[in-house]
Amino acid sequence: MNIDEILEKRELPHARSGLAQDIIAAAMRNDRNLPFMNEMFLLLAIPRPQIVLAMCLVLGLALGLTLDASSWLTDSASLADEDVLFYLDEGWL
Amino acid sequence: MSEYLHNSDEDLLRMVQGGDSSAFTELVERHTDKFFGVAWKTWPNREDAEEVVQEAFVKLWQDPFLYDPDKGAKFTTWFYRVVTNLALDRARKKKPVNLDQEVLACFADKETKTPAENHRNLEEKLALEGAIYQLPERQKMALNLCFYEGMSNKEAAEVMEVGVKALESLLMRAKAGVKHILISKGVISEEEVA
Repeated sequence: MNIDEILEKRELPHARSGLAQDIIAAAMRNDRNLPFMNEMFLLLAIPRPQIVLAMCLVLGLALGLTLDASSWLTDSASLADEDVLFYLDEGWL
Repeated sequence: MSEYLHNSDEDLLRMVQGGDSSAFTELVERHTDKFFGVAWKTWPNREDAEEVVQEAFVKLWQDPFLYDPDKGAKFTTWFYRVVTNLALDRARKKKPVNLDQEVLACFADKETKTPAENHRNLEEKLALEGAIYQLPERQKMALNLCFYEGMSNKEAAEVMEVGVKALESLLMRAKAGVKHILISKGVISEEEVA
């Protein structure tokens, strides 16, 4: 006989009948304690908080890049105007 | 027949996350016996094991987002860790269990051929249960996962958050430990065990 054969003799008890029902009843007596964000996602029927977070990140990034690009263009334009005025003042144009 | 028969545990969990109490009922009915066994193996006291399983499921109902199916771990693997940790917490707070009483309560009513056979069966169960109970926590857990839950070494290592080599070492020491205890108590002899 080896040790595995001895260990195989171990018998384990089963749950009493009715335990599952008791657990379900106990759970239903307790309110769900979801984190606020998850509650909101459920309320709005949005399936996965992670997906929404990822979407927010992508949108934020896109918005940030757009704003950055537009402000760069504006800055460049105003710098160009200043250059023109400078050259006019100096009488080079 | 249950309407959720063809749904995986992970599917049911997603439904529970959406507030589906019927999916929760299915999940509890599907796994109560298994996880009662898991809790009992960690802390062999029937009453405590029942309370541990109840606490774990109630926590899951209260906040099902504790489990994330997209992380890749199976529900049972994750829940095994939850139940075991709750049982270990309880074990640390309580006095050692009266194993004789527990084993008698669980198995004394099993039908056997004769009273003598019944007595011998109980003695054997008690000796084996006692030997496993005496093992250090991690060794006991490795033995329970690999030997009694039928998990692969890789799965068991994942539950215990150790490497496969470390798991194998724990398992080997657990088996050697049980053998040593049974020999020292005279339950088996050196010659009997290969």
